Amino acid sequence: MTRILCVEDDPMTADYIAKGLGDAGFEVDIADDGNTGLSRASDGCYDAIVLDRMLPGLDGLSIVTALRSGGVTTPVVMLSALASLDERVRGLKAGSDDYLTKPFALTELLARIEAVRRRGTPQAETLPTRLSFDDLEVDLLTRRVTRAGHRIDLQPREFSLLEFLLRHQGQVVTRTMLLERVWDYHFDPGTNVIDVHVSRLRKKLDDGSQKSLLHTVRGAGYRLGAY
Amino acid sequence: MFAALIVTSALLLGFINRLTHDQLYADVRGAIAGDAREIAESFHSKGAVVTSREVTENLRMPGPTAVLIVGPDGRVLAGNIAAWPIGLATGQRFANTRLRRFGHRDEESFGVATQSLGNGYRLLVGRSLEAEERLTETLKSSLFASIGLALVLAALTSVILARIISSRVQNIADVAAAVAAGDLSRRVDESPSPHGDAFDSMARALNAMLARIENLLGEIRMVTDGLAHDLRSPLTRLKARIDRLARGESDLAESARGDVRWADEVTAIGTEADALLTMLENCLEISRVEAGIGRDAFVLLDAAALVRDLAEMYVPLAEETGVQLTAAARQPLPVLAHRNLLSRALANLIDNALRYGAAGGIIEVAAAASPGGITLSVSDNGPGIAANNHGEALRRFGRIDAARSASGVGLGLSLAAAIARLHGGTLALVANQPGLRVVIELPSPGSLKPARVYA
Repeated sequence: MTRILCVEDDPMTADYIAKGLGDAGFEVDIADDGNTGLSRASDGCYDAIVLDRMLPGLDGLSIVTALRSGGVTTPVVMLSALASLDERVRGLKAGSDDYLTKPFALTELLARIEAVRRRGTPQAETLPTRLSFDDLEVDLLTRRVTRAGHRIDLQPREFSLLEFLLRHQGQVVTRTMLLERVWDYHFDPGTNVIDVHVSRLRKKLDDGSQKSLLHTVRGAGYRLGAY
Repeated sequence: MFAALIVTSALLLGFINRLTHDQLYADVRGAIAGDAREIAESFHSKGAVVTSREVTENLRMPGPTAVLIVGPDGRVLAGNIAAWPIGLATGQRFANTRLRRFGHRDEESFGVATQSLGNGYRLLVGRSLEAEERLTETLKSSLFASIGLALVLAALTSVILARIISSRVQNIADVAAAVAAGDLSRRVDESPSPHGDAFDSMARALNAMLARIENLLGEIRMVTDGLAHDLRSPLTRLKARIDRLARGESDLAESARGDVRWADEVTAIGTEADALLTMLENCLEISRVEAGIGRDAFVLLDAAALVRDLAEMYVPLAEETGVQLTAAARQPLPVLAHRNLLSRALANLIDNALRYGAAGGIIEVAAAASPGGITLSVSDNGPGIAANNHGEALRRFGRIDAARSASGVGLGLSLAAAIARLHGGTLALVANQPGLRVVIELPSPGSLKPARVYA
């Protein structure tokens, strides 16, 4: 069973996270201050850590720094009310794997945890030149995309989008994740720009095929999956 | 300060007194010595009798001199004083004494020299110091008078200066007190001349500071008022929805599609909350940008590429809504910018153009070189904004019409303007005939100060 440590001092938020992650099938431990958080996280028995940036005792940045310098590589998703890009950069530089701004949707947190957890597994670390899913094949070097042997022409950005989805196949990826990772924008464009890009990609991928590979997860984002 | 003035005057006075005194007395001494030498020579060559006669003869004429020759027995041989002054020794080069000459009613002050003429004969030669003393007195009194006058003038000047200074300081103090009491519109009096004194430059600096404070406070007031106003309606809607849920829980549950309606209500509440959060986030971002946060993340980038990337992101959405979005940005345009913030500014403008431009219209996003740097623009051919509303549209929470204010569009535009200012540039609204053209002018990287480049 996947174990998650949640270091969060606000009981409402901690409860919200614990319930949400519990419903998603995770086993969640809660630490409500920095020092407890660090000592539990140092055990290394967790699959991921959800860490609040501002905590009584030891703050989130110090915890990540301490963990990383102590050789603990457990993926960390940092939560913060500090939304500016500079704060985000600081969080990531300290060693977090992702940075999520409060308030956040539970689906967003779940998607981020799933993403950082997979990133930690060995097969994702090697960089393959070919990605595939079902009958979809992508050659990263020649940038050739085929589905069931049929060539699909993609715009450069569509290709990046597909590559990201393939690397996170089976996981839910949120609009914010796509904006950040595919477009490198750290703001909310406020409209459904991303949705249109995804539906275009879906149309191209599913053209002439019976089975849809790219699914919309209501209220959360998208998932490349068999169903 | 006044004491110092008095001490200096006294020292000066003493010095002048001393100097004139010495000079005058030196003259008297010379004259006495000359007279004495002449008489002594005559005495030695012609003898006591002849010399006595000559001296007596000379003394007939009125003058300032006193002479006395006495014999070994103390008898007066010649001279115009009655007897050798008591206590006056022989061989004095210069002494000050009081003598009464024959034919004079009062004693006068004399400078005298005495010497022995040999064989017990003694000579006294003197000159009256009355004239010198009167001169010294006059000098002294005139010096005192002038110093007194100077002191009075100095006192007067300092009083006047103090009055002027304190009145000007008082003006500043009054203004400061008024501002502290809440009247932010008060300003320190400024002299109209361009070459003012230190007070004028202080007044100008203070007024500039007061203007800035008033401006900032006005801004804060406007933002809080705007926020309070803009938060009220969504919060009211939110509360109404929650109330409805709380009150009508049973109705909803009883209805056949109760679950769906319940879910719809909750989703609507979530949407309202999201809108509120977005508004707050935009507001915070504007404050951050206006505080200059992000300047340290400036990098040299190609504005044309940035524009193309953004246009590329929005093209599918535009096509979906039947709008033709084009990017006119070909040559590389180096600019020192915060990629994310500048993209956000343009995204806001494109988003606005998509929302308020004409249905089936055209939106052009352009980047071009300009004389001072580069020009970024987003143009639509929608209804535009009337020129007299441009200022209002750029203000945070500025309201130009119900449709725009409803979605907090003012924030998007003011954020874009704040981002332009962060980059040392400007944002302007221009009529596109028809439609609106929003123009961001940015300085070329070379024109920015190195401090900002490497900060």
